[in-house]
Amino acid sequence: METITNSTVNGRRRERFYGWAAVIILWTTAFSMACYSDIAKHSEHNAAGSTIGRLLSKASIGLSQACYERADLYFHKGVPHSSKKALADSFYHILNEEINPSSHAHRHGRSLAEIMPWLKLVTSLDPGNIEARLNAVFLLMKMKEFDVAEKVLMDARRTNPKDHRVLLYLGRIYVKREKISEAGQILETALRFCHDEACAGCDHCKDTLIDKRAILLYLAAIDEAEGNLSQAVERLEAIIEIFPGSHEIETTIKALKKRPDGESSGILLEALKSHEEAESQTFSSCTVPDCEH
Amino acid sequence: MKIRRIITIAKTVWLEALRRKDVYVLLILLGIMIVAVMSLDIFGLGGVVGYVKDVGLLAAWFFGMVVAITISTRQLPDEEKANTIFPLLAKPVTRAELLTGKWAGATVSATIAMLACYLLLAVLVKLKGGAFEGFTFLQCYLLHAWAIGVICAIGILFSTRLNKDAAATLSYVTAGAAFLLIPQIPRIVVNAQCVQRSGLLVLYYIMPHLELFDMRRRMVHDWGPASWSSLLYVMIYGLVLIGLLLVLSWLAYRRKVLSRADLF
Repeated sequence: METITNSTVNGRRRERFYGWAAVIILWTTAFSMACYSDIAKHSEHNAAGSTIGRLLSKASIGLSQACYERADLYFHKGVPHSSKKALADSFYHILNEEINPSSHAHRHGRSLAEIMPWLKLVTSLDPGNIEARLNAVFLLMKMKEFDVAEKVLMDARRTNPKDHRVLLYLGRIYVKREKISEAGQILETALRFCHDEACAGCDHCKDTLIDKRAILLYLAAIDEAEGNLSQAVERLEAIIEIFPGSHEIETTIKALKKRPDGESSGILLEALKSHEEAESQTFSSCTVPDCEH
Repeated sequence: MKIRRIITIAKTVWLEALRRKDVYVLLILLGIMIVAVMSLDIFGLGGVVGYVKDVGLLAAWFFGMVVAITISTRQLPDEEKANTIFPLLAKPVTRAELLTGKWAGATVSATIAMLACYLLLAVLVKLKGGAFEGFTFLQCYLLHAWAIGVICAIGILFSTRLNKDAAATLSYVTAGAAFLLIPQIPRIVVNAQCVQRSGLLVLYYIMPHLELFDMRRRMVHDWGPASWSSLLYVMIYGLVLIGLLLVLSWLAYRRKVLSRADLF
């Protein structure tokens, strides 16, 4: 039989003490970390100010960039962008081509959903990356997941309330879902935030102008559908000011002017919808010269 | 060389791998990692499994390499350290048989561990609402097993002349380079100067090409199975590579003086 001595009892007490101490330390550490992460999450100032915050923020942006590239890789079915290579006739290269397909390909239809996890990671790591969110929305719209797309845009709007692109996409979704008055309101707001004064012909400004044209076009179509023809004409004339010489717009203006104010047909809105459908189809076709699709 | 002796040596490696718990730990880690990845909410969309397959297979490759190198590099140094190499070689076992048995044991142990990883991944993917294409799954596993064979042969080669840690480190470097850097040489060589170019070409042709055994792209992006003829070519290449590495191991080990005095 084991003899229980004082030292055995003390040893057991010590073990119990260390066990509890470890539990308390671990719990305190976990609680502090949880509190820290919560505070850090809600305090942009801390993240921007401290060195660790800056490092973490840079790391997360780098990681989000990697995830964005991964999303692009998934769109091309795992085949990376081709670059200039030597040794194309080597045994290894030929065998590798057999094992790992390298032809240019795109995902279509429901399989586009496979890209989403990476875009989701991008948006989680870098909430300010609007481009990733808009790409996710574009793909979701292609998959006819309008509810999900709206949710993503609402999140994007919370972080970037003055971004006209988010509002434009939201407006498009409302139009798709026949919520015309909401679409009108949101597109009016988008128009207010779409600043094109500083345009000097750079790509960003060109994109802003294209966005402005799209917003005006949608607003004109909504006005026309509501019978507000004079307003619709004003919107279309604003487009002509930005992009002079647009024959289709001029024809539409002439046609609208001939009609009495208050008459609505919804033709413009339907035309826009079908145009968008066609645009979403051309997205699947490839712009790469050696594409097999 | 007698097959029976090789199998007997291999069996001791399997038993040792079972006794040690590192494979189970890796399996649990893989499971936790995949479940964590699965828990990601993808805008509320269901049935998206590509990323689970991707991360799971990447983890399986990583863990496969870790298991293969850990098991293969400790065989000879552990035998020498524990002095069990002497009674082993005192029996009618040649050094070639010892090396082949150790390699076979390490390869089979790591391959079985990988099978468990693949099955776990398949179950988790199924739970997420997806599935693997049968033939592609089989081909992918088969080539992965071949890659493990090559990695084990690399581990055995280094452990013939180095201690356990050094052999493991060099094996990681070699396998990592063979997997990540060697496939990039055709891209780098385009802009390389004369001497650099020659050096890179030598590396390209003498280093093992582990990327040939990697069929993850087909699995994850649903490209379907590869042709059996190309699979056969890769397997023949793998066999040649393993053969060469084992011959090199034998050349390095056959005249190695094993002295108890060295150990103290």
